[in-house]
Amino acid sequence: MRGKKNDFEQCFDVNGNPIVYKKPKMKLKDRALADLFLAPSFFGIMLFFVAPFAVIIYYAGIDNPMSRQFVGLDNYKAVLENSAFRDAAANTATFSLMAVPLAVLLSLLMAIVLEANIPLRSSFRTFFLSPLMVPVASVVLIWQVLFDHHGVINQVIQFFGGNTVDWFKSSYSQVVVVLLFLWKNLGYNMIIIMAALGAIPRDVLEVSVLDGASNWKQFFYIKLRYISPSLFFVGIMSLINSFKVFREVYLLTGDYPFGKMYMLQHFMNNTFKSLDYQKLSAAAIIMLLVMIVVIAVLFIVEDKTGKDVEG
Amino acid sequence: MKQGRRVLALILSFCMILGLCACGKKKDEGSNGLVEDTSNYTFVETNFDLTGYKGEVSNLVVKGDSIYFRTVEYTEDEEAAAANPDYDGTPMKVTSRLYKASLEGGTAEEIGMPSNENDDYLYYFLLSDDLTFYLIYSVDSGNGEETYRAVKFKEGETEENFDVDFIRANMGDDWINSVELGPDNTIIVSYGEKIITFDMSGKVISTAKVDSAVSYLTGLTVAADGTVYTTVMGEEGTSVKVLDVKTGEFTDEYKLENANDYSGGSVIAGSDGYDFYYQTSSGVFGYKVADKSAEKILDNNASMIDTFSMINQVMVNKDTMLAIVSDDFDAEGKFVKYVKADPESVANKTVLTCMTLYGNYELKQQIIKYNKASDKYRIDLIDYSEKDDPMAAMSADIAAGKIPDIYDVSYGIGNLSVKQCIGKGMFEDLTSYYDNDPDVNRDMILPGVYEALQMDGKIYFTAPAAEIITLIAKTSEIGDLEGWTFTEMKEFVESKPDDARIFYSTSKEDNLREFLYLNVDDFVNWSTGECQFDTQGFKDILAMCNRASDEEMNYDDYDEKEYIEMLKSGKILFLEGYMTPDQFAIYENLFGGDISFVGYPSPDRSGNYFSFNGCLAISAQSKYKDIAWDFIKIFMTKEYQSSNYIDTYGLPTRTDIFDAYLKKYTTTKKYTDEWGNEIEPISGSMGVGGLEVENKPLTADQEKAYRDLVDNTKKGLWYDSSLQDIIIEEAKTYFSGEKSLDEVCSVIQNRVTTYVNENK
Repeated sequence: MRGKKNDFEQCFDVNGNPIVYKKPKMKLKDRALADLFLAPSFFGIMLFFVAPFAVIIYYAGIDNPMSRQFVGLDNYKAVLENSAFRDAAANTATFSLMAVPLAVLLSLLMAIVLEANIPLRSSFRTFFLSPLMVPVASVVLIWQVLFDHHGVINQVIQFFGGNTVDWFKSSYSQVVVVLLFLWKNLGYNMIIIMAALGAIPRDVLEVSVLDGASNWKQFFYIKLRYISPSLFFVGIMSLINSFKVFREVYLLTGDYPFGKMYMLQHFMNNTFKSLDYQKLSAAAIIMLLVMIVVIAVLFIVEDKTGKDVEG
Repeated sequence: MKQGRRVLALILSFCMILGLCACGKKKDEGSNGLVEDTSNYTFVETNFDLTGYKGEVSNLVVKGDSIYFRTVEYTEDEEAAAANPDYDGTPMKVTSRLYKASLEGGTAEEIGMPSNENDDYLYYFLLSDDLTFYLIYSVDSGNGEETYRAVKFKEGETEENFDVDFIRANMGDDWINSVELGPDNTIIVSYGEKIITFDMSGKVISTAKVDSAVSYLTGLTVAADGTVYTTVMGEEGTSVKVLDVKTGEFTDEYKLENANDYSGGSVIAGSDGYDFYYQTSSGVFGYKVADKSAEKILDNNASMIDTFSMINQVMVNKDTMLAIVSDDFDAEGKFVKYVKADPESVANKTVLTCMTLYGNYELKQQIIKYNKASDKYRIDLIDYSEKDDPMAAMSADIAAGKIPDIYDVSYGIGNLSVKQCIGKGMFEDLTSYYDNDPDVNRDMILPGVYEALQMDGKIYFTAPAAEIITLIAKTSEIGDLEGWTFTEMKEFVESKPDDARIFYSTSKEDNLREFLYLNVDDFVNWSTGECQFDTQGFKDILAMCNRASDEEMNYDDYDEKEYIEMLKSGKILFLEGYMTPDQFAIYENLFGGDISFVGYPSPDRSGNYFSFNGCLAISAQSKYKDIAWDFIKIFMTKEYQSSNYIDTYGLPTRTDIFDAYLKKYTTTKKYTDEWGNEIEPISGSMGVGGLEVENKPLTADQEKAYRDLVDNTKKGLWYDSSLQDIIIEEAKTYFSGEKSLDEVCSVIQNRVTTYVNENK
């Protein structure tokens, strides 16, 4: 070892001569073929993601599609000053802060339980995955049957002498949506975590047992660290899904739900319907920036906690 | 190489972004993206001098190089007048004639018709390719009913007289759309929902029906090869169907794009390779069956053609249209020949656009007049009502930057209420335009109307006419009240017997809608976003509506007589009224003067509202605001309002014309006003609820009362359906007893606040 060059360790043969690895040169034909295979995806990404996003940035910077005067940050300012947007952002953040940790923790718990040698493991796994197969409209219907003012839950409460609650139009409304979110997403998260748990090297676990590690220590010092990339992935997916819960809320309560249920996508959907594309674009970009920051933080955390177990 | 790929990716991204950004970019500098290049579809009026005929023309038919038409002349019947000297009025004699003329015009030649001893009215004529005429006469049978008879004749010789009353006898509750000669010596009659093919003896050969619940027939034509094309308008759009006259089956169907407007894609006989033409309010299209495709032939905007004014039209060939046109409903029709203009010679006018979502006849008329008068500018009417999905089409245009210069805002812009549009800065403030204009200014607007039109001290649209909406009650019941608060009205209502209804409808929801229609703005401050749906005032409204029964109102059982009786006896407490002077007099007469226009409840006790008609606004983004103003101000000019106040429904918004308008309702003598309108005193009678109410000129007291009503009305009706829907949805839980009044008001307050904050 005589130092580093371009992050690669320079190697030497037995005579002390540096070993030079030549990058194999691709033939023109192979390159063309590779490009050909790449082209559909490349154009697809450009056409359906990059270009529309550029248009959104452009729309957020102009006064209207007709005169197209550049107005700097005025649209962003207007959106940030809009109290409906602020309410929607606060509701979405509250929802995500409640739903995402719960989604990760509960799915981890379920994965651990199902990983243990319990009876009917396979049946439970199928049972927990089944909400994934149910269409959103049906999920909404089930929730309406349960949580409507005359729904099953209120009937049970009344049976025991309690007062009914208008679940969708009270301070409990977000709890109802969190439950729906968990019901829908836990199974998927659980499977991912179970796969990660199954991929932990057996020898490491066996050595820890020989060293006298307790189950708790084994879990915290070995399993949790090995599955942290999967937990990170589950966290990111749950976060993204928590922003998409609008679909269910919209079907449950329409354009203008009770205050606590009013999410960022309600704001955007309604703004689109009222033809205010500048406000819509600015709101979308603000939401994107927040998401970038949140995901960046998650990356940093994941990098710090899981890098020593990655290959 | 790696660098090269990066550069390539960047170039491609740039091109795509550029492409997307350019979506909807205008083709020429004068337009705003909504305007297509119409130089290829521009037809111009040409001289078509035709003389030598008498009477009103109609029933235009083209055969070869000749045109054939019918005229009807009304003359004073001196014989009848002498025979009935006591007859109140002037007996008229109707003379029908047939003419033939060259396609190039010239002098029309009268065609000698078979003798018509009883002077039966020539209802219609059919002409076969071998120039055999079938004259269909309407015969007064003497007992108040009419029958039809026909005469077949050729070259002046009567060949046959026969009874065609089967045309009328098979009509049922329908109406006759068109009558055509079919193949194999048949007569095809299109009614509203069925087409019957008869042989000449009246035997029904076949009957074709459309499902009247979802569609109806709007036109029929028979091609030279005998194919029968008929237009069907339905829920899924407009299509032309081919009719097999032998079986009564529709064999083929051709969907017409964007032909859902009032013209309904009227079908016209084909020529020049087109199997048929069809007309919409935007233009004429030629259809080729083999390709199942339509091509635009003529653009109405560019050619300054109003389809409403056309009595008859024939596409002589794809470059020539001959029509009988009446510029006014009352005016006699005249022949107009439109010939396709050389695209190169079409004047290069700057084009502005005016959008309407629901169609607007008067607006279209004025646009055509303006376009004819202006040699520099042209306004194109973008009528979304003819699109398959008007809202989607309009949204797509606006998203693509295709924003009109002028908005027809009488009913808001689709989902957006007028206030939302103003809040979003879509409309130009017209204050400075009024102040700098030599022809119109703010002072000439009725003070109450001006106040109602103002929003935050600005005025955003022109409104040539308005109606007053008020709540009417018996003076003997409410006393001298000139207005009231919600609580005062509630106390009054609660003092009445439990079975006394507030409005005609028995439904709580209908009652609430009635209030919300006008009162919703009393609970919203759009500037601050503050809502007051949890206040006592709103609770009073809900409580009042809750008095109604849970029954859904069945309006099929509406009985006007019973309604009037219930109003008179106090079983219905209020009558919602659209107050024009004649309505005012009718209400006064109905209630024997025991009537008070107390209005809807309101925190400031001012509960009468103006509902404006024909509102136009200028887009804040228009490049041609001054030109747009030159057009929309027409509706506020003395010239316009003075020539329209006789026929326009609602009161004119100019003070000077309003005075003339009121004079029309008070005069007891016939006179000619200063603008040349002949004014007759109000007379006759009107049947209301089984009662014959005499129409009389307003008395001095009535005139004063009406003037006071107008002067005291200072609010405008700005309807917001989204807001209403939220409130109704929540109020239902109170009406059904699920929730308490406070709970419901709290939820309404919460949801509406979100709506208002989002849209303010």
